[in-house]
Amino acid sequence: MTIKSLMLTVLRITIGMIFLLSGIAKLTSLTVFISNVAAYEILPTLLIKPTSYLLVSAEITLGIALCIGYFSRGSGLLASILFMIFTIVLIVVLLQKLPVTNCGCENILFSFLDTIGVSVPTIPNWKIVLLDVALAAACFWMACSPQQGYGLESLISQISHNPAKTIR
Amino acid sequence: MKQVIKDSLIVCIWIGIGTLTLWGMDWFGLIASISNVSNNSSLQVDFPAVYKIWKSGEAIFVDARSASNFRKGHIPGSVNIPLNRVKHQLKALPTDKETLLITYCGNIECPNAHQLMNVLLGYGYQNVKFFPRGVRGWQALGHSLETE
Repeated sequence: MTIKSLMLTVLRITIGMIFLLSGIAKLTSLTVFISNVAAYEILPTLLIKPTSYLLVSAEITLGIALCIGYFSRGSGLLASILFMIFTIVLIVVLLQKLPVTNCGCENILFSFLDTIGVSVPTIPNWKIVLLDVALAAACFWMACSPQQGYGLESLISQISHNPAKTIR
Repeated sequence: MKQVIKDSLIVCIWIGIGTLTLWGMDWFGLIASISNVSNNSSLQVDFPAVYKIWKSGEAIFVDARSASNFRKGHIPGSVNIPLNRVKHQLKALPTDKETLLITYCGNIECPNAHQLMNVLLGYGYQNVKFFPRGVRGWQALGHSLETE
């Protein structure tokens, strides 16, 4: 057991939970989420619904993959790309001063930050941009790291290669 | 790196399957049943109230469909604000944010009217409602449409 593996595991599960809970929240109020996507006024009308479905599906799929630790490096890369897209969109909204009242990005991290006294409003703001950049960097680190941490993938790899060998 | 890209592609396929599943659910009308958004009746206007409001001229009717559909036929006197052009088309609306606005789109299954209502509320309009039956409902009750 190395500290790096442990850190990777904790980070992966935390980001996985953020995606999974955020995706489920969006799925249970999909109409509201579609309205939020429309409010960004970036996409043509025809693409608003497919993009909303794609985002919800991506969040839930990446959330599950990261939580269980399967395809975790590939998921890390995709999560990093997704956070970068969120960052760019938020910067566009902030620079164009679009009246988006809800960024659609509230998640458990927001709740946690709120409980420790760091208030992050859901109206697009530069704090969310910074948070997204930090999460994108963390996901990219996860994707680039040769170690996988502890998860289903490392377990399967361990069993298939050498049952006696301990997890990296 | 090759492995990371290969993993990413597999995850992309799963994301695609999820997207198509959601699309299919929407196609079969299952999205509304899992979505906990309430069709708040205070935000809806339906017949006969909508016709009375239209006749009195106290509200502005806002068509959320595309410009081409709007040209084919719309509720007389309404303005066209497609969902993706709200910022650019806001000048078509009065500056008084308390004016009653009624959004509508094609038919009862079209979500754009409800979404446009939310977007207009975001722009500070305080009195926005939506007419769920849309153009098709208007026609079905024997009222004529205006074409351009």
